[in-house]
Amino acid sequence: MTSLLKVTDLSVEYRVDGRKDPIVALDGASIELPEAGYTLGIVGESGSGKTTLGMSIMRLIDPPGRITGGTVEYQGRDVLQMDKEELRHFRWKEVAMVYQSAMNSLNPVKPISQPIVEVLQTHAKAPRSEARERALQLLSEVGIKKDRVDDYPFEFSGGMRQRVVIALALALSPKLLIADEPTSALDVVVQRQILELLRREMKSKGLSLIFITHDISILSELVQNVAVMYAGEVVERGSHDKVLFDPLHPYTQALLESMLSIDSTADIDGDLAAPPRTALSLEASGVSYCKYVRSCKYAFERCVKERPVLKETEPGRFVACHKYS
Amino acid sequence: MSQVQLSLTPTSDDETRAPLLRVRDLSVTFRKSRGSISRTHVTIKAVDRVSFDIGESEIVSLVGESGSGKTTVARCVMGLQVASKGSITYRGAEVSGRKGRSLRDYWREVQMIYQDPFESLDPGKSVQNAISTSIRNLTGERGEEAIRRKVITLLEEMELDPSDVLNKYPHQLSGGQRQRVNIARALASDPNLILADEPITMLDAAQKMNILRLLRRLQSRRKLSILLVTHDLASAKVMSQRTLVMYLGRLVEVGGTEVVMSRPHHPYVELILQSTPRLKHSSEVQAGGQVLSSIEQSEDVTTGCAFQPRCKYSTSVCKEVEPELTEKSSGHSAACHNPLNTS
Amino acid sequence: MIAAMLSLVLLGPFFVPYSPYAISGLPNQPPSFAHPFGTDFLGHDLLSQVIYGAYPSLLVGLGAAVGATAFGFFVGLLGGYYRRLEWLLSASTDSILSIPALPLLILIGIIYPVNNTIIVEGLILVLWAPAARAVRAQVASVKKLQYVEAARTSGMTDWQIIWRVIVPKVGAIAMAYFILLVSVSIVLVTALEFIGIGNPEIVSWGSILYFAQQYGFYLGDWWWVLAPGLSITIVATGFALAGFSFEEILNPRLRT
Repeated sequence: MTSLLKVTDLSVEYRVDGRKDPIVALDGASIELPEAGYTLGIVGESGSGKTTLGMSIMRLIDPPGRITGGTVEYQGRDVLQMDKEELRHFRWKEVAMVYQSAMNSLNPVKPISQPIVEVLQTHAKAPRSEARERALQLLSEVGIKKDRVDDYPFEFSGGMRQRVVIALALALSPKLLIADEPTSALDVVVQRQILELLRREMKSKGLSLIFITHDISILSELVQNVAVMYAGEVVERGSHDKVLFDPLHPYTQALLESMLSIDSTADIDGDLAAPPRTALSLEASGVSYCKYVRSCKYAFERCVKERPVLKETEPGRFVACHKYS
Repeated sequence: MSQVQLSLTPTSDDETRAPLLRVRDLSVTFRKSRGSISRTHVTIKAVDRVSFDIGESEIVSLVGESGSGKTTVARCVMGLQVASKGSITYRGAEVSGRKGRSLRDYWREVQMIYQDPFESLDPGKSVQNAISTSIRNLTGERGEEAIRRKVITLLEEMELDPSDVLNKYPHQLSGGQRQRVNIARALASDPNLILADEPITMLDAAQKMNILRLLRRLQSRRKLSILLVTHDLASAKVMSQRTLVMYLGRLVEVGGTEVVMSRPHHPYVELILQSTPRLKHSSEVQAGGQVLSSIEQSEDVTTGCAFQPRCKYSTSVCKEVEPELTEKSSGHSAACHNPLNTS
Repeated sequence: MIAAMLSLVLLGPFFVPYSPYAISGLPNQPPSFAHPFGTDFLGHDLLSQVIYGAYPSLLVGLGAAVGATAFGFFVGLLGGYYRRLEWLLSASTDSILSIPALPLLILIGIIYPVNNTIIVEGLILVLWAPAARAVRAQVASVKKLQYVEAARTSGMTDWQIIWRVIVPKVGAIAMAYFILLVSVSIVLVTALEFIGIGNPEIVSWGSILYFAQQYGFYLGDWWWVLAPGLSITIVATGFALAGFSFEEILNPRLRT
């Protein structure tokens, strides 16, 4: 059976003025969502490529960025080769995205119901009255009362606006939702509400979810599986419990140890391991060593000579590390 | 760990010495115009009768959501915001209303770390430039060589490699590095009190712990006092001895961090604790999820407790009478008619 | 483009085949080999006139632009930084802006005839207001940036902040405005001279046109107008394009 989504060895680079070498945002990243209803959390620091991965799936990479390799297959179809018409059908109808600053990209001169109505009219070819009916329904599902449906974005708080954005993403009943740090700018209580909302929607609609974040602690309530990204690659992937409670890749281990959490029993005044150094200057792709080698406490000879590849150590569990091969 | 207890009836001396900073009945009111067509004016009490002390060598957390007034309080203490009412005294001298030279003198002893590591650094200034400007302007130091040495010492104290970052510009640094530069800049004049306004909010999860750890080390080495303004309970928990919680401009709970986080009195604090995300096993995740109120904080409450619309423990008195901040258990106060965990 | 024009201005007078003030040919001649731009009604070589005329035209244009930009910049800077002064600034800019430019200039020209300096001053008077407004807006928005506040708390005095932090950011927009302003003022000056204001005895493009319109154009001496007209167009366009490129450099978002 074909997977819902399969990304294989995806590479993306950005050409920036004044720099000779392009910036490598993604360097052979691979993830897979085998079936409908599958939930995946993608964890990484800024610069790890997680946002680029999300955007590539939607084919939202515009110049100066470009996809330099790999494939994105949605239900067996090659997304990267789709023509304009197919792409139009794919985006928003099959896969939709909610991103961090989305709450600020709502058109300030339109009432919040408007974009939803318009989307329904253009893509679902719904007549105006039907579109409006559906829009109201969607907004009420996300917690926006009927009497506020024609208010303008500035009249809402950040949390409410984010709900509108989610309603918009779900308008055409996509099968997969990609959420990129949707709650980073929100307070803890509001964040909880948004996460609850997402959980409810996913359950009721059988949605698949890719949740991208740098904050591991929000994933537990939302996803069953986790992928960890470092320097443009996926270095570990598997079920939530296995990856986060029994991490294999040294980076994952270091990440978990350095995390701030309210349950932290870590001694703040003690000398714990410093957090892994982010690969700041993203090196050219095709390097012949492990990118984590400088910060890795287990590094041995092979790590400098050969680049590790994502391998399945047990069913459903993947690690890219020489320790396990 | 010295615990300077907050006494509710202000006395001039605490156990050992007078507090470094004393805030009494601080209130800040803004007038905002609402509506696009009929411009009516609304008075918003951003800060409403807030009182607290900070002692020497003490870390205190000021916790609240956005809109709680916590940043406004910090800005008032810093002298950047004029208080509508109330007093702020640093070592006995009044802070609010200071201008010009007297304000600059104050900044020699009290400094601020801003929330956004990128926005608070001049993109056109190198790290060296940014820090030496502070040194030059706040201390009397004029000697170029002495200033350079001081910059290097500060950078080393921040666990940065001077040879690596000295001549770099903000956009060439990572978020964590930028924040360290900000801290270095704040410490340039050897201040006694640091106001840290959400210093880790804009950093990646992996970098947060390290910056907090750095602040702890600096605090113990330099005997600093820190007022940590944050919306995140986790940072308050690992950093501070005392925690103050604000909601819509008012202090709703005050007490030792340990007890506020484990047995809070105020339902709002309980709500935040329950909302805070935690890493847990799939088996621990509740099937139905918690049904938390989806009402958001509203400024439109005019009588009674501001938290009442969201409170699941509210009774009729909550709608009519605004609760005062009073001690509900030893050294632990809350502004609530029906406080929790009082037994 | 500007470089070409500048070299023309500076080097031109040395290469002029004939003195523009001397009668060197038969009057009202269309362009020919000896007189590439033809001659005017008195026999002056038009090419020489154009070359000589560049200097005053550009001088007035540049002078006005510099003056207006400088004054506007200063006023905008102060008004933007010190909120107390802002009302004064807005009041004065608004009043200037509400007066239509050309009629005012004409009025000035009539009151003080035959005086080019006054023209420059008049232009400055009219043109500084938009500069001030743009600068003020820019200063106000820069002032709000967090690192400006951080600069304050790190002990910088107001004056230090203005010169070391704000001016570098705002200076750029002032430059862009200046460049565009040059082309505007050159056109304005020419327009004024065209209708007779200013000193017609000094050869400048505007004065050429003045005479052309009076004495030649309607008789069919099309070349008389072509020469200065073309020059003005080239220069004005040159500066305008330069101004746009400058803006593009400043604002990377405009780059395509």
